[in-house]
Amino acid sequence: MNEVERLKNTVESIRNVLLDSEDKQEQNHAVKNWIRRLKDVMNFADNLLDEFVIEDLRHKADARQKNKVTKVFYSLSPNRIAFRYMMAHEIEKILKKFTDVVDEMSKLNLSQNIVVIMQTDSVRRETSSFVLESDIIGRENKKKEIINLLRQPQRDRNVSLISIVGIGGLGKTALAQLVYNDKEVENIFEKKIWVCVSENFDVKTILMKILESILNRKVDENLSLDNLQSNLRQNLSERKYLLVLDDIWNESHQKWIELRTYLMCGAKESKILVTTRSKTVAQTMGVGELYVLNGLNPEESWGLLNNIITYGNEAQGMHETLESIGKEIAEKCSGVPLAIRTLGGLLQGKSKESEWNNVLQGDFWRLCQDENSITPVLKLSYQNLSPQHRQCFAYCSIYPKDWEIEKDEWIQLCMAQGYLECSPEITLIEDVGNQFVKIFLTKSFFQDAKMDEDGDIYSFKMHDLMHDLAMQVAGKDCCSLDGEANELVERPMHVSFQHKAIGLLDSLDASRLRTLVLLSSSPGWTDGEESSVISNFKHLRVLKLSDSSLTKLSFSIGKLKHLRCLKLYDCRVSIDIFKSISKLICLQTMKLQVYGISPWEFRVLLYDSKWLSSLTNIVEISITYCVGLQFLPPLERLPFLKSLHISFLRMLIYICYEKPILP
Amino acid sequence: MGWCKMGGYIHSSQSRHLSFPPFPLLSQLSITGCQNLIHMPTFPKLDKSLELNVSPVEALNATVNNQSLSLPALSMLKSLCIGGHTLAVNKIPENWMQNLTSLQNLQIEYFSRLQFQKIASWFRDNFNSLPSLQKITLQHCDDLKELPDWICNLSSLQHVTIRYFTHLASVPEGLSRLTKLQTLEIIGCPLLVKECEAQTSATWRNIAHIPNIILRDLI
Repeated sequence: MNEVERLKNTVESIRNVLLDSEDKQEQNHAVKNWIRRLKDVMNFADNLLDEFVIEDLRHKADARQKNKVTKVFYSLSPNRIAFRYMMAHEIEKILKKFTDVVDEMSKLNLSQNIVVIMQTDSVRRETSSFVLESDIIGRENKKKEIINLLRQPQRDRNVSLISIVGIGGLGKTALAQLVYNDKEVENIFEKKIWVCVSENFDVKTILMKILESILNRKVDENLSLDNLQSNLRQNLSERKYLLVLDDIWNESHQKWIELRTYLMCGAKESKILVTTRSKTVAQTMGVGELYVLNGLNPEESWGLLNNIITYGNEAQGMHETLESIGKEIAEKCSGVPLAIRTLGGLLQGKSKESEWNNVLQGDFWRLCQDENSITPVLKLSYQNLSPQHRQCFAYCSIYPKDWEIEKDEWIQLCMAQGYLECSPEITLIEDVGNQFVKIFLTKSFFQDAKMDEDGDIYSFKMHDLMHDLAMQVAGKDCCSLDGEANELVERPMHVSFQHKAIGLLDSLDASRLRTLVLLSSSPGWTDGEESSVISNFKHLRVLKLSDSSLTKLSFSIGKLKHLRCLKLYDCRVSIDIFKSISKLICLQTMKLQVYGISPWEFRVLLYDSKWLSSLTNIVEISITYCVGLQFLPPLERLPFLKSLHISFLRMLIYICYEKPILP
Repeated sequence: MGWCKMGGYIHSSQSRHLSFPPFPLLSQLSITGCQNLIHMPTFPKLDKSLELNVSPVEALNATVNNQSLSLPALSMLKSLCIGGHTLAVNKIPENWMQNLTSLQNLQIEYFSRLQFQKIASWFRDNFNSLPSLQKITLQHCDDLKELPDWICNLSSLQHVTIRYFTHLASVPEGLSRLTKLQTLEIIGCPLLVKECEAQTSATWRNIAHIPNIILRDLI
């Protein structure tokens, strides 16, 4: 079908323009609006193209069932003709919309010259150890100074406050972490508590996080303030504790006083260590000791920059001119480590003098001064990413701030959105994902990587300034609903949410939604009926739910035919879910940890051999706790299956194969 | 429909496994707590990881017995975890590890003393396999008093972790033969930790050469 090819090409080239349009977006309101419209048409087109993919998969699956003769006739079957007719009509409509939007482009003086940045840096194999080095430079003395402050006896109150103040990216959190994990500090205090507060200074939430940190487990969200307080008292009273409140923004004295009253129960000489960007915040809190964190000195700055640029091999030496430019760049960063790291990442693999000079003389330095922030530096580094990388980076903003992002899940999500289908030279798509993660780590877009037993990266975090940047570049497309806001801003495509925000799901734009993730550790629906709202989101590519009753959705989930990634943890389902899943033929990742089905119901399933076999694109299958499951359908015909994880299927006897070769 | 009818005559007979087709691209497989799973496709081409815990060994046997492949079965496997009191180690062919030439990481957990005795034959003296093995983790074994000697035959080892052996009180003398050993981690083994902390003990002499020793009590 020629029209399909044409549409596909149009969509591809527009995607590149879109990814490159952010710079202009900032400046011009008209352009912004135009891009929004273009994006809308794009989404339609994208979904339509996906319909063809699905139809094609279906056709192939059917063909496998039938013999050759019927296959010939199949292409002429009434269903298929109807589908083609309908689609031809749809394509025509979309191409028309495209023409309209493109016509408008000339009025906006938008250039059609796309500058696609080629990713020149080849990530070295040994990067992972480089990425993980804690290389916190020049902080040892500062750590000692803070610890001395923590040791100081107090005059009047039970609990006193120390605050680390400095601009974003200076390493306040990193320093607080060094202190927090120090052996000596461990001996001084009986209890250590770490809470990341960020913008939302809600007393109850903070108390809950404190309690969770003490108990090292989730606390019931519905606990009353009184309950929380008595729980805290039990755990803190007469204990000498250290509480770190990371990243405070609150300037309301009232709120702070309220929180403080709950914290006064500790033993004498308990301490609260606060990190904040603003002196006003520290003053609001009546901080006893203000520790103003200074930046790195010029030597330290250059040392760090050099380390990042050379992937940790400073010893190999550097061209003299480059070194002198590099030193100047380092100095301009005013000792802010994140800025130095980010620019280091930017200069990795660049060896032309002009490229370095461009960085040294860039306009963004002036912006940094005006805003007293290093965000313009981060932005520059972002703009130097390839469009594919930018897309993945922006997508990270579906996670809340300070979230520990699991690497494998992140890759599954990006894969489901089609963001990783870009490097023809790497055949395995997860490898593309792993490579992206390494690049983001070496360039400091991600940080705090953790490793698993096998020495692979397990998870990572984003610096809050990076998170801000991701939110900014994602526009209104991504959001994380924590339930604090009462209504939605715009019409997001990618949403993560917590239990408290469930009510907002009704108001999401069903035609746009591509990602819906219930954040782990958050329970979902207790009433199976209500979960059926999800079946309206027909274009979802990713669905992840936990602790929910999905009895109603089990039947209708088959409607979400675009789904690539389905993860259900601890969910109550009905037997219908297996039949529904067999319709999700695009699935790449499926994790099922479900209950609520009796063994005799599973026996019925026995006669439906298709439920997994039709998922010909599946890469990863994980099934846990389906106790009554006795048989799994043939799996060895699934051509892309890379990972199979089955656990506690106590009655499972066979994973059957299609045609036995009997001796 | 074809496959489920087979249920009737698929039972018994070990040799039948040889005819099971392999997974084409599977790289990671984990089977935990599936006590009845005896029939499934084989998995000779696994390269990332295999975990077999509290589950039958039939599928593993079928995989290692399959001779009809261009590469020996499991010769690309990097990480293996095997465990569970009910795991029938005596049913697994003794020489099955000889093809695991890429294995870097081996974890053995929840085995009884008896099981440990039986698997000693996997790692006999003249045992020359597992040339790539860097890390071994043994954990959760309550009734073992001394660490098996065969560890000392794994000459490429860099990292040994021993966790939750309540009654373990000594390490084998031969440990000093492991010249590449960089790190020894002993966690939650109260008797052994005590031994190691006393720097005059015989145990200490066996481990003193290891650059990085991490001792921790139960967490």
